[in-house]
Amino acid sequence: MEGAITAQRVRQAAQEQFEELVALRRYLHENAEPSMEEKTASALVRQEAQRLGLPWESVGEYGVVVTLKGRREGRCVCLRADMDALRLTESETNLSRRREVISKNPGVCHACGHDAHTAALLVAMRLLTRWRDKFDGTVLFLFESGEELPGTIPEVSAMLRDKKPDRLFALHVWNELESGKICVDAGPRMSGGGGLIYEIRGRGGHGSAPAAAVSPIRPAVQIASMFDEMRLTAVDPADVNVISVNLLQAGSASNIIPETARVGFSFRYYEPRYTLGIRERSARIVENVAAAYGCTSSLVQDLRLDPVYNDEGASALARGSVQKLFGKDCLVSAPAWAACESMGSYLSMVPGCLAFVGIRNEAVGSGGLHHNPLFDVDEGVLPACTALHIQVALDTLQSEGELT
Amino acid sequence: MTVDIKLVQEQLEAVREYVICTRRRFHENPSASGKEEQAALFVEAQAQELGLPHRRYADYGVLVRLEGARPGPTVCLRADYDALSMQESPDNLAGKKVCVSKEDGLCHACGHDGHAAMALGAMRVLHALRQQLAGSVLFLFESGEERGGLTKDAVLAALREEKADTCFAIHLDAAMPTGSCNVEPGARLMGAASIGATLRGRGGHGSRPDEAVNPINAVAQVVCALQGVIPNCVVPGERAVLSVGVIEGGTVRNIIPETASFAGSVRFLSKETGQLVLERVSALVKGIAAAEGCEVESLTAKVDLPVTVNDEKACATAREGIEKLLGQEALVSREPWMGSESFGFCLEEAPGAMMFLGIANAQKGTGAAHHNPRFDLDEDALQVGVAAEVGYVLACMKLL
Repeated sequence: MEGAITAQRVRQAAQEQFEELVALRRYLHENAEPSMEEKTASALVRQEAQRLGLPWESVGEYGVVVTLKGRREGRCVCLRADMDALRLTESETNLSRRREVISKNPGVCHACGHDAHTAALLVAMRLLTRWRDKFDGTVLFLFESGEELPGTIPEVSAMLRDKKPDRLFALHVWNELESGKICVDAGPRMSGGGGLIYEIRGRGGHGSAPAAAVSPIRPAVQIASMFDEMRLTAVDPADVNVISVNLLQAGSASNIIPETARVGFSFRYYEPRYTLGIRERSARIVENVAAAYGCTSSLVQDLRLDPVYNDEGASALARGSVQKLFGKDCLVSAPAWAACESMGSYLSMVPGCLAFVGIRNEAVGSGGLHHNPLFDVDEGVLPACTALHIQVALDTLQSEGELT
Repeated sequence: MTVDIKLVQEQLEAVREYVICTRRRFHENPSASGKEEQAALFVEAQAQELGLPHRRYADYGVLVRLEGARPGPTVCLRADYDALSMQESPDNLAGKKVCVSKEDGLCHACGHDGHAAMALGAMRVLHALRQQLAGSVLFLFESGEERGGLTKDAVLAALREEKADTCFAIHLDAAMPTGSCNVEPGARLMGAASIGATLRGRGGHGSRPDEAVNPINAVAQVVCALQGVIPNCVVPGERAVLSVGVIEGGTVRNIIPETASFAGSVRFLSKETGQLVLERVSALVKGIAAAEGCEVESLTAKVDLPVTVNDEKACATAREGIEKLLGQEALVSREPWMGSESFGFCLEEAPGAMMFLGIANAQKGTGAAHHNPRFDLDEDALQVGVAAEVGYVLACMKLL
C-alpha cells in the first residue's frame, strides 16, 4: 500500500470487507456462547492473530489481547471488543421480519451486539496489520470475555496496568440511535452501579416453634424495606439514580424455619459524588437490623461497576475521527445509557472513550431492546464500526503534540 | 381447736344487710382513684366503731388491725376502693340499676365498691369472733389500684411492717354467674408492662430527606417490627399480648422533625415471658434506631404490674374455707383473666391468693363488662364474698 492512510481509504477498505464482516458476525451469532465460556469466539481470535503473525496473550481463560507493533516505538492505543452472548432465547423474528441468522445454541444468543463488536474489531485488526508500516506506536486488540457478568475485570485491569496503553477505545452498538448515527459525548455515558447481596444467618427450626429458633426472615424483610428508603435518604435527589431491591431468598417449606435469608439490591448512578454513601448505608442497615433480631450477617456478593466516563480529550479526538470518516452530520448527542459496562472500570484506569453506534433500522427490523429476544443489529453498520476503530487508532497514534 | 360453724354462719347472716348498705354507700359516693378521702374516712369510722386500731398510709390508704385472742399468723384481707373516671349509665343490661353514682363522670364500674363492702363485712364478723381467733387480721384498703399500683411501695411497706404472712383478696367477676368462686393456683391475671421510645434523628426540610435523618421512618420500622415479637419469640401456650397505643412525630407536613416516638403496652402470664418480650423490644428499638441513624433519646421497657400468681397452699386454704362455709358446689374453674391487678405485688410479698367471684345474673341485668357504663353487680354475691374472706382467715388459723 502506498502513501498515508486517509480517512477515505479507511472507509473504503472497511466497506470492501463488508461480506467478510457479515460472515464473521453471522458465524459468531450462530455460535453464541455465554459469559466466561466463549470457546469458539476465543479460538477464532487466536487463529486470526496466528494467521496475521501477531503475538497474543490470554486475559482470563478465553479473553485475548493481540499486540500489533507499527514501524517504530510510539504511543500505545488499546481497542476493545466483547465476545460474550446472553443466556436468552432469541425470537425467530426481529422487529419486522425473520432473522437472517439464528443461534444454534439453545438458550443462548447474542442480544446485545457483541457479535458485531468482535467481528468489527477482527477486521480492523486485519486492516491495521496490513498498514503496520504506515504508523508508529502499538495497537492492542482486546477481546474481552465475560463482559455481561462482569467476569474478567481483574484480569483485564491487570493487563492494562502491565501494558500501559495511553488510550483506550471501544464502541457499542445501540438500538436508541438510528443506523448512520454515532455518539461520542464526553462525560458520564453509562451508569456506574453496584450489586450487593447480604446474607442474614439465624438458627433454623420447626415452623411450629418459632421461639426455639431465630428466624432470619423477619430481619430480611425489614432490611428489604429499609433498603427502599435509601433512594430518598442516602442519595442526593439531583443524582440520576436507581436503587432496586431485586433479591429476597429464604426458606424451602412452609413449616421449616430456615437458617439463612438473602437480600440483594442493585443501584445505578452517574456521578459518584452523589452516591458514595450507599455501600456504607446498606452495611449499617444490615448489621444493626440483623443484630437486633439476634442474627449475624455477611456480604456475600459485591459487584462494582464504575460509570463509563468519556474523557474530554479522547472524546474530542474520536468525534474528529467520525467526522473525517462520515462527515459531521453523522455525529449526534444523546442522553446517557442507563446500563453498566465493564469499560467503566477500564476508563477509570486509562483515559479514553466508548462510542455509541446506531443500529436502529426499520427496513431490516433492527432496533429491539438490548437483552430482549427481538434484538437485532443492522449489519450495514459493520464497516463503519471497523473504520471507526482504525481511524481512532491512527488519530491517537499520529496526532501532533501531546495527547489531550 | 375449731370454731362452731353455726356460730360463724349466724355472724355472717347478721352482716348481710350491712354489707349491701355499705356497698350502696360506696357506689353512690365514689372516690376518685388516688384521692379516696371519703372512702378512707368511712372505713376509719367503721374501724373506730369496732374499737379497732387503724392508720392511714400513702395519704388515702387505710390499715385496720384485728388481734385475735391467741397467737397465730397475720392474715391480710385486701380491698381496693377507688372508682373510675367515667359516666355511669343508670341502666344495666335488663333495666334500672338499684343504685347509681351521684357524681358526674365518676363511678364504680369495676366492682371495687363491692370489694370494700365485703372487707368491711368480714371485719365485722371476725371482730365478733375475735376471742376464737388464733392470729391477727390486717384489713388493707388500697388507694389508686386503677392507676396501675399507684401506692404499691406503701402497700408493700405496710405488709412488711405489719408482718403479714399471707394475703387474700376477691375480685368480682362479670364473666361468671353470681356466687361462683374461682381460686386456683398459678397465674390468674396478666402482668403488664409499658414499652415506648423517643428516637432522635436530624430535622430538615421535607424536600431534602437525604440531608436529614427522619425519625418517623425509624419509628414506623420499629412499630412494624414489634408486631412480630410475640408470634416469633414467645413459646406457644404462653399467653402474651403487645399493642402500640401512641405514635407521634412532627408538626408540619413539609418539615422533617427532630424526634418521633411511640408507646405501647405488653401483657404476659409468666414473669419469664414478660422479661423476654421486653428484652426483644429493647433490642429491636436499639438496632433499628442505629440502622436508621437515629439516637435512642429514651427507651421504656418496664414491668408495671407483675403477674398475679396464686400460691398453691393458699388456694387449698381458701377452698377449705369455701367448702366449709359455702359448700363445694360454689367452686368453679376459670381461665386466667386478661386484665392486670396491683394485688400481684402483694402476692410476691406474702404468698396468698386472689379469688374471682361471679356477679352475672341475666334476670337482674348484671353481667356487662368491667369498665362499661352498664356494669352492675348482683348484690347476692357480696354475702358469698364475705364468707370466703372469713373462711380464708379461719382456715389459715386452722380453726375449721
